[in-house]
Amino acid sequence: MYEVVVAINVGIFIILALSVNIITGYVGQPTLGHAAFFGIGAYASAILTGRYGVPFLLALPLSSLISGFIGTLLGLASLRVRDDFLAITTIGINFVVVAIFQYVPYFGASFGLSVCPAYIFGIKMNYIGYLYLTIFLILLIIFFLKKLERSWFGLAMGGIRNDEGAAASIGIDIKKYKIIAFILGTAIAGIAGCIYAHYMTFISSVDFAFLTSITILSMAMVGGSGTIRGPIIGAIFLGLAPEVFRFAMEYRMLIYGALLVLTMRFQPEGLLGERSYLWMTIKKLFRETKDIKEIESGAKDGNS
Amino acid sequence: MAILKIEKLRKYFGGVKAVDGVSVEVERGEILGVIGPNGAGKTTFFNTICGVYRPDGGKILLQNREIQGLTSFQIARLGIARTFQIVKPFADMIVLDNIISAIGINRYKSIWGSFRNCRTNEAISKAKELLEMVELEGYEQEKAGALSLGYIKRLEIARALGINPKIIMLDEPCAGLSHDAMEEFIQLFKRLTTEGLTIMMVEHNMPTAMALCDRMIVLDYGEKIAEGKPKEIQENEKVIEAYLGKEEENA
Amino acid sequence: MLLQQIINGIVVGSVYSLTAMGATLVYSILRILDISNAGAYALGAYIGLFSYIATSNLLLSFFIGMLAMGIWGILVQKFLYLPLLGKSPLISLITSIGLFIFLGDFIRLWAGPQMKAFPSDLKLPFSGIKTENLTIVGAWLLVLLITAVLLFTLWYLITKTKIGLAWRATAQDLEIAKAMGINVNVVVAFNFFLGYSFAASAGIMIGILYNYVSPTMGEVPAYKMLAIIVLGGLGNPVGAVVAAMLIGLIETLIGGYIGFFLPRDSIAFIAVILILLIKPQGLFVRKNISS
Repeated sequence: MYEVVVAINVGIFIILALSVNIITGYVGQPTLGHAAFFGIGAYASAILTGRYGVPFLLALPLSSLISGFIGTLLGLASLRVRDDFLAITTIGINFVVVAIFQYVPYFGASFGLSVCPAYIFGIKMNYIGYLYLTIFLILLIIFFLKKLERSWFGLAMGGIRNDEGAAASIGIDIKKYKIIAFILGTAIAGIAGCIYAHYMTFISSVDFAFLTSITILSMAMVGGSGTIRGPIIGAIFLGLAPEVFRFAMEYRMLIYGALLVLTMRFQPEGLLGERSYLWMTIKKLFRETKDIKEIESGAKDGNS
Repeated sequence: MAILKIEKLRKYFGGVKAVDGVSVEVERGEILGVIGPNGAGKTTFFNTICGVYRPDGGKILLQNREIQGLTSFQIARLGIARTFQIVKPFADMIVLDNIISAIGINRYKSIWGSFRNCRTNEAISKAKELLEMVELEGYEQEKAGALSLGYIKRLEIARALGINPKIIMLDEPCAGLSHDAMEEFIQLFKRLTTEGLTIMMVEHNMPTAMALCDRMIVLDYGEKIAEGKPKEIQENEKVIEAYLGKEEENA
Repeated sequence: MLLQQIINGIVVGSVYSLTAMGATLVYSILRILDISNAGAYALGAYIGLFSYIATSNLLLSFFIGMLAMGIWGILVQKFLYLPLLGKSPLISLITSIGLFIFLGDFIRLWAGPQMKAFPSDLKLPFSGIKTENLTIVGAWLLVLLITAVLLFTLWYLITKTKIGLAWRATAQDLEIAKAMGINVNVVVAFNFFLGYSFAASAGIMIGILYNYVSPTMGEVPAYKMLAIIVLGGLGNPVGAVVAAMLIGLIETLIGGYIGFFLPRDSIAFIAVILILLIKPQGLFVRKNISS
């Protein structure tokens, strides 16, 4: 049972890391307050189900929409405020959102909010149920992202990430695509928030603070920015690390900090980034295996 | 038939009149050179036409349709392509994708439509065609940022051509190139115009400009001080003064 | 009463300006947001505290703390930030956050998670001023004096010395400065030395003012300084001081009134968001310091 809980946690992190990666890895916009949208999704679902009796299956897309809607505002802000200023603005938004959850009674203020259990088709969700749901959503998101990467949308994002002026010169509407990227990233974070709220059965503003934003972002970047495998591996790695290194619990933050520094310093593209040592090694192994297989099958044909 | 008409175009930056009432008509299929001493406003002129800057006055007509005030991506969609003085490749994307992204210019109009697969056989073969034209075949899988300057300049031209433009504006395409590379470019541009493309070019290198351009206009301090065939420009007193005057200033 | 609050605000603003100066200086030269500078703030405070316990000399403790963090700054730029120059800003940002987290936990493991205080018999160089309407404690005077000295020194160094000239050139454009033969490595090292030693001094001051140091003391300043340097125009030292003073004053004067509604610390961030939406470059545009 404990393993299931850990798996759900990692799963939620995977969703969050994939979502932030859309904004930072694909479109290259700094967003350091992503946990705010995680929180908006969580609180939205908690309130929808708790106070307005909305069924869970409806609350899920609704909280995603609410996150995405507020994400639109951030997207619009990103058109006006660029680069480092945008980075700081997103930190500020994180702080303000957390402060609102912390102080405003409607959101439970410092007492937090307890979340009513989720029912799907009349059946109360248990941990296994949440795990299945999370895995299902992850697969859905991966499918969507793969489609994104192979599409014109993906090329547009790549253009914006590399050089906005050049992207505009080939007909890409920078503003439109930036906003949509923010919407996608924040809406997906909202999904994670909804699941988190119901499986934890209790949320408070502390869960969505700046440190969480950094955790999410570092998962995407340590794993490999701009890829699908990167955020997944990053989330698994950084999400499981506290479990695996239980004995070093005391030094958790020290190791985490050192990890961030060392990874960014020596593998800035991420552990599984395009040009990373690990990824190149894996690709080489695959190529060699393929070559060996081809030689073997060629030899077999030759003998028959 | 004039494909591009510029009427009394103005662009000011505070008190500086970077482009001050420049008018010119660009004929279809010609190579028009835009020359002038440093600081004359040539790149600003280009940027204003392409929508990077909003004009402060005047008109720009593309095939008799007014386009001044439109944004750069809108103007690109109407058929004006450009390259950049300081190259702007999509550095972390492979060369092939750099070109395909331009080919999809009409795909970006609809968000829904933009979700379709971009690496279709059609797109890839068109991209490869363009790469062949600029002699970059074989480099498809290289990261654009890893190429040398001369190759990136070729990439930019192929990318600009990818949007199937009516007119292409080249900002110092030959700057920083070796002599051989320049020769190849000259051949390429001449070929492109025989296929119906119109070219506007800012070029600092006089011999290249003289060899390539059908006509030229000369800018100085934001104003057009001369217009005509290269030979006429060469012998134009005002032009000589403008360039010489700058030399004296720098001496 | 109001005057008292104003002076209080100026004292707070002074500390903020020294704290923010670190991040501002780093940004002027390298264009990166250095959150780990707040780690130097906390670590400097601890070193100052321990130095005082060892030497009983306050000014010497300041000196030791500032020197230690200055050297740390030189190491950080050499081994961490310079190699990362030219990469995506997110990379240096995550690096600096990682370093900040590391430093915070290091302090906790080294000195213990409990907060510590300066000895109660802290010998300040001045006694306070007490008039009918005003009370200015000795600590405030110390803060104001040290801030004035440090900021003046900085101003003098940057505007009147040769290395200051090199600094201004490098701040304008690092590549061009390099091409002009300026030893950019020395300038950057000098820059980090100043920035980190200023942060250390601010940390020690806070330790004295509020009589505590703790491993997490750098957290709020880390974020608040970002807000302040943005308000001041990223990379603009003068703007940073002005913005710091403004925030210090606003927090002190208004903080009491909105305290029930939103935490006092969010004032800086709300100000930043509002101002950036109106003026996306910050209150002060990056000044051309050489003019």
